[in-house]
Amino acid sequence: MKLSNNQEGSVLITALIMIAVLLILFLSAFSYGIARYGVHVKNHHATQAMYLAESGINRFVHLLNTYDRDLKSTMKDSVHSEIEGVGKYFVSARPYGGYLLLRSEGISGSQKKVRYALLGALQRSLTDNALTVLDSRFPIVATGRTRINGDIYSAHIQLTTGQIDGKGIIDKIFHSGRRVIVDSISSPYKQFTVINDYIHYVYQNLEPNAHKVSTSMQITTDDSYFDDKTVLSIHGNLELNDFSIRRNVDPLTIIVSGFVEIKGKSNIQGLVEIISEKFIRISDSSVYSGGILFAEDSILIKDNSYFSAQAITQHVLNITDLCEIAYPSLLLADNNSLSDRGDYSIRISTSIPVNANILYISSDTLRQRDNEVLKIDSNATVIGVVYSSDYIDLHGNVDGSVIANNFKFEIPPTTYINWLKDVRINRYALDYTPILPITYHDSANYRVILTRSFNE
Amino acid sequence: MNSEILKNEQGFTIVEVLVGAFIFMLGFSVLIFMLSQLMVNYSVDEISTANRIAQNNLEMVIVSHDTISQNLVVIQSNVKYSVMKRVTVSDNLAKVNVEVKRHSKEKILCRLYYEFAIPAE
Repeated sequence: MKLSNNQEGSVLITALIMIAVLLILFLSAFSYGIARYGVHVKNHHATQAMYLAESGINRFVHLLNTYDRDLKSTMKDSVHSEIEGVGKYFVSARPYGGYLLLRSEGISGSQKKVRYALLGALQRSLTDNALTVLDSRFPIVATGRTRINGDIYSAHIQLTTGQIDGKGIIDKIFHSGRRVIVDSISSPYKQFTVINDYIHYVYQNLEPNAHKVSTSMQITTDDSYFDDKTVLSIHGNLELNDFSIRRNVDPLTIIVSGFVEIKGKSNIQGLVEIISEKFIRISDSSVYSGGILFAEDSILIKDNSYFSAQAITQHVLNITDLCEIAYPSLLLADNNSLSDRGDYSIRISTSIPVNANILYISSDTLRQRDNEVLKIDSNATVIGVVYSSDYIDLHGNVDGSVIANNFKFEIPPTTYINWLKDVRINRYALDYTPILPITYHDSANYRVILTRSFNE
Repeated sequence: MNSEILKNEQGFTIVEVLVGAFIFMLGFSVLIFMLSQLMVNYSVDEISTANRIAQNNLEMVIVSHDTISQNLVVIQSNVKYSVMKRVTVSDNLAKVNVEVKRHSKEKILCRLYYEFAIPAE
């Protein structure tokens, strides 16, 4: 009975528990404060890592533009630097379609940031003009409602007006700006081997380590097939239907021996490169942004699709049916192959303005190729640079710069060389400096087209 | 009655001592808690502000390609911060160091580093 009345011990325990609770409260508050401090330190390192990654890209471009003009050796060696008490950066480069892809890692403390940059070349001497005509044999003749706003560089001394089908000049003053006669204007893409280097890079460095599939594939929305892959080689065709993917940090390369169909509102964004030995077709309001499409045969973009990437082919490239082509797209036909196929062309027939640089390159001048052409339809408007090392069949509008060996305007059986009919070229409407695919010229001035940052 | 109380020379009971210790601990803990929060907050806010100042100054250098080294005093919430901007140029490549510390103190609160090429034109 006496024992049960003795409650002094329980008070002691209660007090000790209370003290322990207070101690825990105190420690948790203290650790919360330390955690907050840690978050701020982490944020600081993340900021510094981002600046370091950007510094790496700046230094790489600076090296290319100053001492080290040997692009290939610079790409092999990479660039890295360690800044005492701050962190370090590491930059590597690889061919990426017509451009270079720089990958810069900035590391500060425990934080690592990856920054990608697409590097092109500035060809200011050509792209500052509204019109540059390389062929010195024929004069430039303007007819119909032709209007050129900006400077004209021409190898031929004569710039005149004429008539086709009896239709004369509506506006006699068809040209505003300087007119410069240059004896010989050299084409920047006479020795254009960048695309070949890109394909060699893919097949030599990426393909041997590819995950190989020996059948055709159809991939739809819920398929996470690509999640753990960076290089995939498919022996067959590839159909992507209502399929979505976004690759930011690790590029995804898909090499297909057959054709590729991207349809059913597929949405492909980021560093996704698709290389087909046949054709690639994008349709059904699909989106393709940030990557590369390379097809040996042809690329067709149609049915309200959205495209903001590089489309490179060795034969036919068609943009049609209200497709939207957004900056900084590159549409390139590199007719460098030894194929005997007859038709080589780029054709732009969408009525939505095409925001892209369009290049038609034909380095093989030994053969007659009557069918090869870069054609811009009368309902089309291109915002950017239109370049052809051969001729252009120009009917639409260009807000930017047109560079061509010459122009052809055909009303069978007559072919008018260097005649421009109902054409509008307005250099002043392009409010940015166009950056073109790289060349290995000594005079190349490299510039960053766009950058993207990611956490890793 | 009073003399009876005065004659009581018994000490505090264990219960009274523990209750007293408990109240003391409670007050002491609250005090330490508030003090530590104040210190941590002050320190975190200081670093956060210094980081922001360093970033603003670095962004100004990046935008303007300014290569002039200089010292600045920035006042934020009535607190003075010293900003030391050091730019070294070698072969047209600028290396920028921005350091921020409390005015008249030695400890550097934040340091940011950046490299950029000076445009030719």
